[in-house]
Amino acid sequence: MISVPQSKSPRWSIELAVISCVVILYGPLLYHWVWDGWINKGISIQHEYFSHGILGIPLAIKLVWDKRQVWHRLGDSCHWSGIACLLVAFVFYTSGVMDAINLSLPLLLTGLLLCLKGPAGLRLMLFPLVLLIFSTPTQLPYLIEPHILPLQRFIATVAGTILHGFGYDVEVNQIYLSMNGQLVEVAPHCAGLKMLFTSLYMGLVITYWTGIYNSRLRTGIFFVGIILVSVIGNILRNTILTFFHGHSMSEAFHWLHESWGGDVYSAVMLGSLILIVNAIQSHVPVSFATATVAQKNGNQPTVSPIDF
Amino acid sequence: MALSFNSSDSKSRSWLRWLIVALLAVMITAVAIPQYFFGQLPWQSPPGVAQIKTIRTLKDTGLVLDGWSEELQQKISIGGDQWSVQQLTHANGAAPEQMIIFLKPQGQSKDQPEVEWIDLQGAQKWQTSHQRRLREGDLSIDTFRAWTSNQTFAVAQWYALPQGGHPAPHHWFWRDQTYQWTRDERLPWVAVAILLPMPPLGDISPVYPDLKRLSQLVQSSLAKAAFEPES
Repeated sequence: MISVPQSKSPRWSIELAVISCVVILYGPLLYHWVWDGWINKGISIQHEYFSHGILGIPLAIKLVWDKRQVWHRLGDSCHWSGIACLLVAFVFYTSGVMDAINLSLPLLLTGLLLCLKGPAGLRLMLFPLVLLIFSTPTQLPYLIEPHILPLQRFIATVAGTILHGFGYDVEVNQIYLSMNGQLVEVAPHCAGLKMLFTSLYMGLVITYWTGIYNSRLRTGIFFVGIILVSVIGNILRNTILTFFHGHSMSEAFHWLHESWGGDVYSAVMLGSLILIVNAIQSHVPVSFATATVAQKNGNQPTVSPIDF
Repeated sequence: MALSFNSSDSKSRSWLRWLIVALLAVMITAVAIPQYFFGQLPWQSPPGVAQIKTIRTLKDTGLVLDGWSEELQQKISIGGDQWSVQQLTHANGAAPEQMIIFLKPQGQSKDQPEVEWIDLQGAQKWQTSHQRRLREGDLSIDTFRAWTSNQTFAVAQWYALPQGGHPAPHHWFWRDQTYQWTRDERLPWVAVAILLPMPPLGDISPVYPDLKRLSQLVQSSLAKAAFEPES
């Protein structure tokens, strides 16, 4: 559809007005998220789980900018659910409850997309919107943490077994590793829930970037790989941490636990995601169908593109 | 399929779109501007717990229980946080004779219940079995048998809240959300664990009535001592 050129108002007037309003409404909030929460780590551990937004939100803005011409060619339409989103966002924004205020941003943007260009507008901007939604700080990690106790126990047990294998005297009780009288607790964030969040988010970006989302098989293997790398990485990390702590190497412990050693570890983890996706692209077929059936009488390969 | 109303008339279409801009402008003038210039930003004045000072002193004083006399009260450190531990005996020698209470009161308004039970279990080096959740009215408790090499206890634990209590953090979380929406306050909490000595690796089921009764006694005295709004 080609929109009717409006002679009186300039081409982008509505978009400019809306964006200016959103910037005024949410600029200080985003500053608070980024500066107070992610850079100075002054809000809460739950907030820090979403620190991948430092990369994700600018990327989302860039993707929206890249799509501006396609957006402009979409016909104007307004879907009723957009108005519902706007009203809920309005209530959340005015509530004064922090979690609701945070959530009101993706809600408001969803509402605006639906009100300006209808479902087609939402579909066009879906991926940047998803990037923003997964960067919006909520209490989700708080609600998940109690449920990953089995994972914490597993990591503690395996780390204990590894150290035992090297001939060290280690005792494992639940999520506690004790070595030479020093106790190490495999806490939820230490169990790699934060790293898992970041890895899955970066996985999402890589999936989009490389286009492997066109293949369900490749995407599935990639995300299983991300989870495995994250769990194995955390077993190793906790093993090394227990070793440092048990030998009273407190400087080394702090280096890996909260100093730049942790950042190096994160970088290695994220780098390994690139290696995995490269391996998948060269070794995994697009789908089982293309590997086995495709040569047969011209069957449609069951590639199901996900429309971002 | 989609219930969109495509307006063919470009005038009414742009009228609707400018209405949205008007809504945003209302949000700016009615909410954002007053916050930015005249009031405080929501994150600079987070809601608090009205009784936080009273609650915080619990870790220094412990809890006074009707019919029980205190033998010992101490402030101890578990998992980097401060807990109060009390040893009490029944005043008239009635069974159960002894009880130990662990309390971890909220330290700051923004503290949330997290891994108190795991911290306690780890610090006490307990082996546990016979986990069971008991419920009476609006108080739910997790009970289990805990033992070390030299002692066995029947344990009940829960997060005490102004009305009732529950061992799961998510229970506190949703009530806290309601508190924030309706009262502009945070919901106070105190982590409580009561321990009754029992025969080594004995049967826990005869202890259930005592656990229930004493949990309710502790809950109601906490409600009076800590959660009642200061007048």
